[in-house]
Amino acid sequence: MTACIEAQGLRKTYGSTTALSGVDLHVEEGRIVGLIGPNGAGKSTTLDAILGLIAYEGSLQVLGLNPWTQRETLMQQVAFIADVAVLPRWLRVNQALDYMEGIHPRFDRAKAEAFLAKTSIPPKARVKTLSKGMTAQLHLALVMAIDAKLLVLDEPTLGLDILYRRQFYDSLLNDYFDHRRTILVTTHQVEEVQHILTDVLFIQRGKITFSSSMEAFETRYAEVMVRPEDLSAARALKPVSERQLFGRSVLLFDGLDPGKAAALGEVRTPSLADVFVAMMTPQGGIQ
Amino acid sequence: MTSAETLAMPSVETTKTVNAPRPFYWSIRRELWEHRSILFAPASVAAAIIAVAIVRINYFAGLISKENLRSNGSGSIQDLAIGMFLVTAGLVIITATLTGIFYSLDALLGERRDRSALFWKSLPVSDSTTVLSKAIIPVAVLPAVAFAVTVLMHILMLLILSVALLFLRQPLSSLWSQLPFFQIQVFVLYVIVTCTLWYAPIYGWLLLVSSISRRAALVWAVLPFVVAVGLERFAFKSQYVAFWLLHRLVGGLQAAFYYVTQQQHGTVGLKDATPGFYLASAGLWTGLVAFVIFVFLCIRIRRFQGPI
Repeated sequence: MTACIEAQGLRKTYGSTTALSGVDLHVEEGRIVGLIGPNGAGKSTTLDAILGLIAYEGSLQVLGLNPWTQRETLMQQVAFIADVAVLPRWLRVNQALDYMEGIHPRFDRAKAEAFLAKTSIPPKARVKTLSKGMTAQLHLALVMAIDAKLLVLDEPTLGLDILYRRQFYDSLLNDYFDHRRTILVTTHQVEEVQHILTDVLFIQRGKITFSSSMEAFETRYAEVMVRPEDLSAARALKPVSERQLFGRSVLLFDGLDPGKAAALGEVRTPSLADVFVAMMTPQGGIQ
Repeated sequence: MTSAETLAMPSVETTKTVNAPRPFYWSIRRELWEHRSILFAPASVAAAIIAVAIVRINYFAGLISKENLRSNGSGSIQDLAIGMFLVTAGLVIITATLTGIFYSLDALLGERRDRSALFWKSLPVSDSTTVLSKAIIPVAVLPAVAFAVTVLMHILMLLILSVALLFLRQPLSSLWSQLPFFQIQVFVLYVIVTCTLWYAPIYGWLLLVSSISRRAALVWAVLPFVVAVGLERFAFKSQYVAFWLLHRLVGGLQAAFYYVTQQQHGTVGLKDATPGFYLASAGLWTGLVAFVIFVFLCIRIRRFQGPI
């Protein structure tokens, strides 16, 4: 497997604010990676650096290219959805297709049209007349018709209703992802992307604080609703976090033997969101 | 390829045609889609002029009719018609110039304001291509539009006047033989080209301001000069900046019609053109150098600018 994104000691400061304080990143080809972090953790800055939108310190290679100095070449192989509302409002659907076909060597118009035919977007409508959900569909149609090696999504479904969000990720997974492409996604809707990710990264205060494949993640963590009498024994096993639920303590363990966990109480596999909240809270990321 | 991978392949299989990308061409098309006023503003002024000409057809025909000419003496049909053609051309050119000014002020600001810069930057179109496609609008596309619209408008005006004369049962010969139609078009083209090249640094400056400012680009574009003129008058009691500005605004026409503008007398025609003097004037070349520098700075700046 070759590395799609390789970053070492990636730093970025805006004046006195440090956005990235040494991000190390290794993303292999053919993965769907979720970059998850609280607001202001440096998610968008990391993506901006990967897309060559900002200058940075440290070493960064995307598809073997330097994104800042070789941006133009890179963007032929990278597609990018910043957020829902970046399509210009004056643009017509057919103009968008004409333009993409005219400038992008890897754009397949027929593919975009086939995708749009499944939606209720009128072919000559202007973006400003489309609903937010339809705009996202249009953007997705444009991006999915690009034969890109890397797709970067920065909060692509922000502000969309659950139907559009679900459809967005389903389309992405069914019509686009083919195990050769790499997808890097940031979102706050952790629950909704959990099932499509192959890898997850947590970013906090400009640093990658956690990195795991989803397979490893699912076997690694256990959440135990501990019986009151076993609480002190459970705490001795160094849980990652502890919270109260219906008056009972729920402890999250990292790499605890399943037998031991079952002895303490009711065990369930925590969701990505559970682990994310647990890991951010004690360190003061969010309180 | 495993069966699972086959299933996950895109459902729509198409024969992929390899597009030869033409980013510059499509970037200009893009500008015309976004700023429809580039075509519409000069065209609607011309359309309004034609509409007035049709509605007031009797009046114009009366002006160049035999009776009117007889009372005014010979030669005035030429002056009258030429005057009419040149004034209408002037209106179209001024409209195109104003459109160019407002276009330039918005060109690099609008895409940051509506965040669409993030979309454009997600595509394999370089900053140079984008900025150059925007810079070429006021210095080449709009002047070309203005000229094409003017020629078309003049052809229609000539037809309307001819129809009017026919209705008045007047001979067409006086109009057609005395109106130097082709020369008027060459004259209009000369004015458009000389003014555009002379004003290029102004467009460049406006583009630069639009690439830096976050709002009120017009204020930022004008304010430094107002302040400079004011300060100079106040502090040094001199007016060099004001004269320099004036030279940039009217110097082009002065150089393009050197002798006639020195004498400050009546009408100007193609015979008064001094292209050699124009091409030899330092103001033209320093202006073009400034334009190139401004555009280069815009390209550099766009690279670092994100949405507002």
